[in-house]
Amino acid sequence: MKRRSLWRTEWRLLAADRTPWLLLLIFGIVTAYGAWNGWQWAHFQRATLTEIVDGDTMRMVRLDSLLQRHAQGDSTAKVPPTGALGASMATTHAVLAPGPLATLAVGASDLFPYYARVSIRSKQSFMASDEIENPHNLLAGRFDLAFVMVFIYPLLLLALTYNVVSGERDQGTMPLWMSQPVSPRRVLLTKLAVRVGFVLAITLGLSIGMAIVTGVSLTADGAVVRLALWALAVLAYGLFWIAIAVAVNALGRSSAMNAVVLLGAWLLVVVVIPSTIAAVVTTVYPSPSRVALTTALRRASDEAAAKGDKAVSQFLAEHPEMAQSGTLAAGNAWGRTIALQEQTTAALRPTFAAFDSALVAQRTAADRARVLSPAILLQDALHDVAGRGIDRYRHYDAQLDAYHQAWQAFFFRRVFADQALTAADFAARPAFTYVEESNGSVVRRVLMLLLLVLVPTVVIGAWGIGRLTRVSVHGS
Amino acid sequence: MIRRIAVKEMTEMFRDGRFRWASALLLGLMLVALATGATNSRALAREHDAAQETMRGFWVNQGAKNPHSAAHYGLWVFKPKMPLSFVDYGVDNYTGVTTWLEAHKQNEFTRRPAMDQASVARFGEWTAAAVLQLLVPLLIVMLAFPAFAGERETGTLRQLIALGVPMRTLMMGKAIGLASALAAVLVPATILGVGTLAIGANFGRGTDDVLRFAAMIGAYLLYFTVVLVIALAVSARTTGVRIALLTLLAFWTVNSLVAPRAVADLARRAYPTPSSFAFQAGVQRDTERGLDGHNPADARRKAVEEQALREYRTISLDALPVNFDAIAMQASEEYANTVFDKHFGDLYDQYRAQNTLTQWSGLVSPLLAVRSLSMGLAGTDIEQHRDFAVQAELYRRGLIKWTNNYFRDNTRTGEWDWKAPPELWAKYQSFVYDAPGMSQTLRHQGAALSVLAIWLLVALGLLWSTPAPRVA
Repeated sequence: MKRRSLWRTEWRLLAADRTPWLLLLIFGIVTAYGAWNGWQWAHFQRATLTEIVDGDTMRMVRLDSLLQRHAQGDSTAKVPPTGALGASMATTHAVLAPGPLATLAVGASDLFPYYARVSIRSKQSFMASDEIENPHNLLAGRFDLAFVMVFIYPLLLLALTYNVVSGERDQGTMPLWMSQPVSPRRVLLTKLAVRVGFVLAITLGLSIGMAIVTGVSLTADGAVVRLALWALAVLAYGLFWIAIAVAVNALGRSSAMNAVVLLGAWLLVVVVIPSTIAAVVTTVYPSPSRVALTTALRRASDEAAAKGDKAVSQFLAEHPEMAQSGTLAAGNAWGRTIALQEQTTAALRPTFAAFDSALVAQRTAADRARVLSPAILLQDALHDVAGRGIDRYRHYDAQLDAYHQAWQAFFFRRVFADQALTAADFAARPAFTYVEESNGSVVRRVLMLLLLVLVPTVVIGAWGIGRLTRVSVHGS
Repeated sequence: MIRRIAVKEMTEMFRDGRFRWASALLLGLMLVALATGATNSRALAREHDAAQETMRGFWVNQGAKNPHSAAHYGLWVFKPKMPLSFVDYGVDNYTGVTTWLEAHKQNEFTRRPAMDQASVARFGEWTAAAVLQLLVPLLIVMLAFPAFAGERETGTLRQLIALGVPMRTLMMGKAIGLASALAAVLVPATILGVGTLAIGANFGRGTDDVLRFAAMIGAYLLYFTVVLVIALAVSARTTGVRIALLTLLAFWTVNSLVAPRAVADLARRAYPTPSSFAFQAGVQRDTERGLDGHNPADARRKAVEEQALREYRTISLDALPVNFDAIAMQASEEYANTVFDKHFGDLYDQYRAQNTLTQWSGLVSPLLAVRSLSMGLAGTDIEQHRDFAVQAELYRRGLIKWTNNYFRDNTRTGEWDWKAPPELWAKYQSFVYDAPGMSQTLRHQGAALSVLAIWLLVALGLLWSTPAPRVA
């Protein structure tokens, strides 16, 4: 039998069966539902941000015109706000817009804030509320395209490959093709390749199709690179499951046994190992306590308040760049509040540092442990590609901190001097623009994860293919 | 006859190495989950209680202060861990654990523990509830799938029927046999495990916790029965072992992993919630403009002033024997409270509507129903959270009113520099959370209970109506 006719025969056999088409239909529906959910969420976020930015713009235009009129000596204009009031009137939101592939995953974006109205107060005060979401939904997680790929796509692959060898034996067709003048290994691999090619082509087609249908613009910066990474990730994860299927088939058991073993493997990889890792990591490296942080914060601010004037003058003496005179005018309550706030923040710096390093320790341990489950690796890779991973939020958070500091530095001087806001000040105020992570760093991170998926794939796959030659007519 | 069949099934089960291994593994996992759960919950409970104490200490020792400054200083309260939360963490990691009670404002709960966890945490938590909801059904399915399909395939089913054994007798026998084998493992382990830990954990409110625990066991037993009957019905109605197994595994997958997420998305679409920005903007708009939009703050203040003058029979604020600023502040508090009640109430009602929909979706996936019951009984669902939030808010309102009244009665209008004595703050009682009883919890679980009952009836009906194979 020629190689091409072998391919054709296998394809005809697959296409003539009703099961693959039925599975495909289900998978198509599930994928579309996932994409729709992702689209809805990205749409909601974009609408929220539009509302926020429009509101900010309107406020700024009004403030600017007031300041301009005042600068031109218009005596009918209202008196411009001074000090802290000026700062608070000039604040706008620092927003993190969804990335180009946002519709493909919800990821961590239902948990982390994507806008903040930075002020001269401490970060704890302007980040005082979490994003609204029913905690029951947070617990369940979202049905997005990334979920479909991590959990359901392996099931589709396994459903079509669990009986490549055993099915022939069950039907009694095995002796027939073993008597053909081609090696059994080639027949099996062709069979496998046809089925796998079918699933992979469909999955990749569906992913990219859904990306485009949900409005991913291919001309956006990094969109094509990220989409290619998405495809690569899906491919690598698919190969992992095929390797497992080959290895299980090579054991030469019955179809029912294969199904059970493969489902067990799936359960292990997508449920048991991840939740065990989560349990072990949080036990060995417990999350630092926000509760303790809350009490520490209050204690520190009470201590600063108790020192009162002493704390204020200490702060002013240490920061001559902010308060040239070294003292506050009587009645400058905001200047006093800010000085005490900064003394509190300074006192808490070691506490926050300890908190952050405990968090880093936990994350590092969790990142190392995810090697044990390609499902975690894929999930992190897909979230990262879609701009929905924790890394992007940390990137945003770091920029938010830098902006907050710049904002404070700019306005503190004016608060301590209780200066009126001028048109020139307003024009010179720090602005926030989120700078997206470089495509290179996303590519590097994701490729690293995929490499970790490929290692077990190659090992298990090589073992399986090697063993397939020993497949016998009657099974072992 | 039924007894004999049951005994035969049970004996077979106990002789089966796979059953012994699987049960041992399951029990091991469950005990580990219970032990870690108990350790974590207890540590958190201690931490929250200690933090609450500390914060109360800060409040009591804040020194001589103007009562309104004290109200601004306020108090942080922490959500206590419920005694049964170690069995099922529920949404505890996804709700804030603390809120700041201060003047003028109902704050949201912040500090969700999930925000400080690695991404892997969202694959699920390793709790006793997870073992009971996911793994036990899997064990049941793996044990029960060949019950009829196996006998059908080997031809022994027809033999039995030919011998004159009624199909329904056979069903009863098999169901009882399998259930007893499972019960022999699960029931003592559950009672022993949870019982020991519960005694160690010092059950807070005696009978109610015991009742909750008993109800929880009941809910899980009902759930297991549903799964067992479904498995038997599928086994009885399919032609071969393979199809029975694959059908049941597909059911398990949809039930455990697919449905919960699919329904979460559905629920939030059916009953949408606002963004945090929109929510706060709404609260602010209503507090500033008045609920009906035609009641600016100044007009309200004027009305309060007139009422105060009438009440104290004077003609000017200067002649008022009390502090009008405090009266005005309290009036503004009471107005703002109606705004908070509306907005927070609407938000929590929306959550409740979502969760009721989720419970009804248990008609597709019984797991959703039992999960809701389990969390509710463990005191780790959103209703429990809401109850705590409401009590904390009522405490806040009482506290602020107390400071305003004290300020009103002890000063005259404009005396902002006046300070209350330092020993005053201890006179307001500390916040003690009074958790709802079980009956109140079950009020929000009607849909979940109905769903489990419907499942049981339908599955029993399907099993009962299976025709016997023809013996001709």
